Amino acid sequence: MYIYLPIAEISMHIAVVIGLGGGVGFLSGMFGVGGGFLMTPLLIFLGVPSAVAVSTEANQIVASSVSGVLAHWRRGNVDFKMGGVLLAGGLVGSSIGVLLFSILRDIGQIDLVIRLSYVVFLGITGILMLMESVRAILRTRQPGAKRGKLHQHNWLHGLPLKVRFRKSKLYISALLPFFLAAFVGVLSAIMGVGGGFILVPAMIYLLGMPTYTVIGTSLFQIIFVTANITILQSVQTQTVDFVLAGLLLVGAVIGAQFGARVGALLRGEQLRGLLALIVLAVCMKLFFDLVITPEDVFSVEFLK
Amino acid sequence: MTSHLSYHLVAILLLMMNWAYPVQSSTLVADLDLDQVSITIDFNGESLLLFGAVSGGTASDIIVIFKGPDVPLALRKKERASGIWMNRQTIVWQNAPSFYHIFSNRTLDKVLSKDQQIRLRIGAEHIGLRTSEAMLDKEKARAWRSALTRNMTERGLWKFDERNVSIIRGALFRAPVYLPANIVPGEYEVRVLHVQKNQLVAEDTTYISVAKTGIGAMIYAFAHDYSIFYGFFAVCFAVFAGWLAAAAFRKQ
Repeated sequence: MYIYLPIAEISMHIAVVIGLGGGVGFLSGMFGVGGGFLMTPLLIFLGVPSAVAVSTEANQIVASSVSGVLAHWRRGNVDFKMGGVLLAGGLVGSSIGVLLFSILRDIGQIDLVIRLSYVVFLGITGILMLMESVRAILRTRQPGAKRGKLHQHNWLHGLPLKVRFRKSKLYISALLPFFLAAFVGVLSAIMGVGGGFILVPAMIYLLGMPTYTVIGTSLFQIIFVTANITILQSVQTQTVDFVLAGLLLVGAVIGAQFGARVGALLRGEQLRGLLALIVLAVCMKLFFDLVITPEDVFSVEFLK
Repeated sequence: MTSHLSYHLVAILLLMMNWAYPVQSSTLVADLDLDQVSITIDFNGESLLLFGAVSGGTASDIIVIFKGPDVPLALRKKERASGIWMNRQTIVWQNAPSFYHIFSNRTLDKVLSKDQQIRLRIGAEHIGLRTSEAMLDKEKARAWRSALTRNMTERGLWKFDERNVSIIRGALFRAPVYLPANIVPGEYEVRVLHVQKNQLVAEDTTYISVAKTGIGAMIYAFAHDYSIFYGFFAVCFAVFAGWLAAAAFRKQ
């Protein structure tokens, strides 16, 4: 059975859409990641216009982040004060990102910028994650290794506007999380991702937040950033297809349940290593698309 | 198939009418088996049947020109810049047909000479396409024009010189037409020409409208006419769906 997606204006088999949601949902449940970095490129490969893919994925991430944050909230693992600073930065960044997106689309360079952003940021995170997990796997093989400090202070923590974040046991400049979230917000709007793959490591290593508050707090702010993108894209470009988002979500919810069960069978560093390989595979695929001579150097685009 | 039945009935009717009112010159009547194509939520392209009859002479050659609404199109050309392929040149076609199929019973060039094709405005080169910049360089113009045709043909939107018109006993004709799922809504024009010895002897034009209908059309209108409310609705829908998913799978 085919479904004609009302905003994307393309026809897709319903099993393909739900299967895609399920597959990405499985991986996101297994690794505990949002999955936007897989979903958006896959939607574009399947012929969904890139603007629709990015906006619709933002809409879907609102749902998956709400569903994810509830469990962390119940356990009291959301630092609302830190979340508030992050979301202020995220709202500013994502608004700039949506604006940049429509400018790039008008000059015909949006696909290039999306692909370049994926190559750069997936490449960096993939390599860092792979190195970290390999080190962790080696460390478990030699018992008695020393544990490092909880977190290290550097000059970034000494910027003005210092604020105490009780839940995260931090006393740092509010400018640091603000600009971090603003930067991730821009990427979020352009790449159609929640940005957890940058935000989470940055919150741990750059801000020095304790790991248990990081996931809940980042999910909390991702809800608002992606909601902002959904609304701005709806108004500016009318590219949010909630029918597509809803169908992907049905698959993702079910897939994530199975993924979480499989993920529980593996060790943390093994999971991170596997995830790093998937991230790098997506990065390589997009990289080759950019450098390999295309079949046809011409492409046609309907203007509206 | 009801479409086939109606095709035969109408064709017989047309023939009878022509016998009843004999005319001196050749006449031609054509129609489609549908009045309207509806893009519904389960739309995945539509197959149509074009049929008609010729009277006052034997149908020698039939040409059908199926043309969708004109749209602005951007054609972009990638070039390698520091190892990366990126769009470097763009030409905008202001009035390119979003759908353009030409078919006949035998090769178009054998039915009509090039001069006649130009005179009758048949083919992408002869319908006065306007571009954003004057293409003075002949070689460049040819390359870009063929790139446009190639890209539109790949999408199933343009198709020239297809030989799928069947002529039955020199009087009736029919041709299957396929509108792919990526067609643009609007008014479609179907010109049917009867050609004899490189001369146009009769012509008929019929129209069919392609429109979005049902729930999909409502969602589209909602998104475009009340975009801010649509945005808030999409967010509320996502929040509710996320909460529902969490509640359904909450670990006890």
